[in-house]
Amino acid sequence: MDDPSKAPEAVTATPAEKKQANGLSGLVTFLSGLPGAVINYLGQRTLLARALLLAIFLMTLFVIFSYFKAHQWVFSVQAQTRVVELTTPADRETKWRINDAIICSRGELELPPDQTALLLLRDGRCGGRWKGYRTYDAEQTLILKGAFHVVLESRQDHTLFLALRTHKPADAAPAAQSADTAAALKMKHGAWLSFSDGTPNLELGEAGKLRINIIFPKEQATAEGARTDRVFPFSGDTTIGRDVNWAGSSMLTQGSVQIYTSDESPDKRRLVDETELLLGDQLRLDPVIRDEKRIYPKGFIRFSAPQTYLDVIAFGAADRVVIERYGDNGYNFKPSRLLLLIHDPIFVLVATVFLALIALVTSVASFCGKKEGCK
Amino acid sequence: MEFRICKRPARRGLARMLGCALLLQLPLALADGAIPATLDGNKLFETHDPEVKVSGNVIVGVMVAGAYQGLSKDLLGIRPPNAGDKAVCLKVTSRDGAYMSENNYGVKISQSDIVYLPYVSNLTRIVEEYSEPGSIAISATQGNCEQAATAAYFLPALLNEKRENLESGDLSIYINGFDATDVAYRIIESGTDLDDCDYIKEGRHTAYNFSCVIPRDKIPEADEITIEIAREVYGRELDPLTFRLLDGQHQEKP
Repeated sequence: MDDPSKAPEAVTATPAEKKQANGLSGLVTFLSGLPGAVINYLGQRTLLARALLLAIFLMTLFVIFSYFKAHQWVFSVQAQTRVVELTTPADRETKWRINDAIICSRGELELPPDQTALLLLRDGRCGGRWKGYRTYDAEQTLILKGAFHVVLESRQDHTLFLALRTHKPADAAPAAQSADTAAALKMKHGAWLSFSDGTPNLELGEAGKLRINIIFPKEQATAEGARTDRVFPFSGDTTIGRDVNWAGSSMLTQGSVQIYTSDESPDKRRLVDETELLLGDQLRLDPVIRDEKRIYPKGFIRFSAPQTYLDVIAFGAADRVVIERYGDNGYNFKPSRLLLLIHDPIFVLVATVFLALIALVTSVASFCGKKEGCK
Repeated sequence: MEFRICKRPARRGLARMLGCALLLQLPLALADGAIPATLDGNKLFETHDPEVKVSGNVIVGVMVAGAYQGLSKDLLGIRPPNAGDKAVCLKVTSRDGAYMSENNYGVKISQSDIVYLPYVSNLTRIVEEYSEPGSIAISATQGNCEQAATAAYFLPALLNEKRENLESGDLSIYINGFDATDVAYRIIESGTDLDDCDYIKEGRHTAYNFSCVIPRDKIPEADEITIEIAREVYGRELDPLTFRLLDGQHQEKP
């Protein structure tokens, strides 16, 4: 006898619920029967046909997997520009040699007594609100520990300027920022001038505020035989060029961006995509966040007088290359999945083997057809 | 609203007359809020063009820091310090230069009062996208937009929901520094030194790239103050700009 307690349930089931239950059970039946049906179907075919169908099935799976897998790629940038903006990383140290430069400070520097590496200038070259110092140390080094906003600009009169300011973070990702901050806490944040003649390091800025201009005078750059290349290695958020504006003589002149694959492959790097940069373009290279750590773009800037532009070479493992063009909204320059797929060496290898297999099978099938009987 | 008792001749003396007078004043008292300005034309003139253009204005925005919230909610107001016919040119510009609007308003006020500037945007979704502080600048200058710049700015601020009061806060000035490396401000009446403005690094900053934040407690209590904007290119000083800020916030309503 049926359990009477179950009767009401059967009565209360709505037609919609019954239909849904029937649909689900049908789907389960179909899926559970699929492997058997496939095996049964293959069993009725020849050995060649079975191998072929299996190969197509596996290849389809491989294509889907390859298409959706996270491809890694790197970009490289080569540009000529009059202006570059950087934000140095919060958890790293940046060092630049600034010998024979004029250091302009908002507020007087606290120079140690009897030092001879820096000389106070009174020629007003730094501007009315600034104090100017001339460096006489051949190895004068600027040390930046932590995040600073830096602008490097080559003016039309062959003078190279470096503006160094305190960085105010805006909307950094909380996770990444916490990791950066933790690392930064182990390092004293600040900017120093380091000397080679035994003078102790001189801290720049006061009360957490830093406003320093560094001028690399044109007389050195243009003096006959005094070709002085200056190189500034960097890592950090980078903006190459400046938005087109009415006063804008400082902008990107030309350049190109290349994107390479960086998957495991024998030659490691394969060119995937490339684009030219035009006069007035602005290129933004942002860090990418992986495992709660920021991976910054890196590279170097070279100023080689008497040229009036800066050569910039930058690299990064990121899809964060934004090109902003005058009259355009700006776009994120990254390769499509399809482009990455066809440049994936493993995919290309497997696809080639597969096509060769298909060709072989077709040839064998054709041969068997003529001979009648290759079961 | 009508009161029949008041239409009859007064029969019961002074008390009844006073009562009628009070009742008739009631609707006026309920309507006590911001005086709406009249927008020139039927519709707000605004554009959103991702293909941004070059702009030449140095002072792009002068506003109470939170005033941008009033754009999408239609809660934007100013408080001219003097009575009279007022023509107001309201300009709204996004930092990336893609969104801009420029509209004339007219209003007649009999005293320093709160003026509500209707801002019913047809591009509300786009305006809402600029909901980060500093992503959009508002300026309300005295006179029509077509006239020569008067360098007299009203102070746009967020109205409360009932459009009765203007929210207070720090003053934000947005500057297009072009090639300037440093921008600073000074309130002439305070006689203080120049205070530095901040460079805006994040995102695209086509329309303006410096923001000056003046704390409310540093603004003198006056209907009109003069603010000087100083700009430097690697220490070389450019000609300073000055403008007048007209704000009746400090006047008590009678």
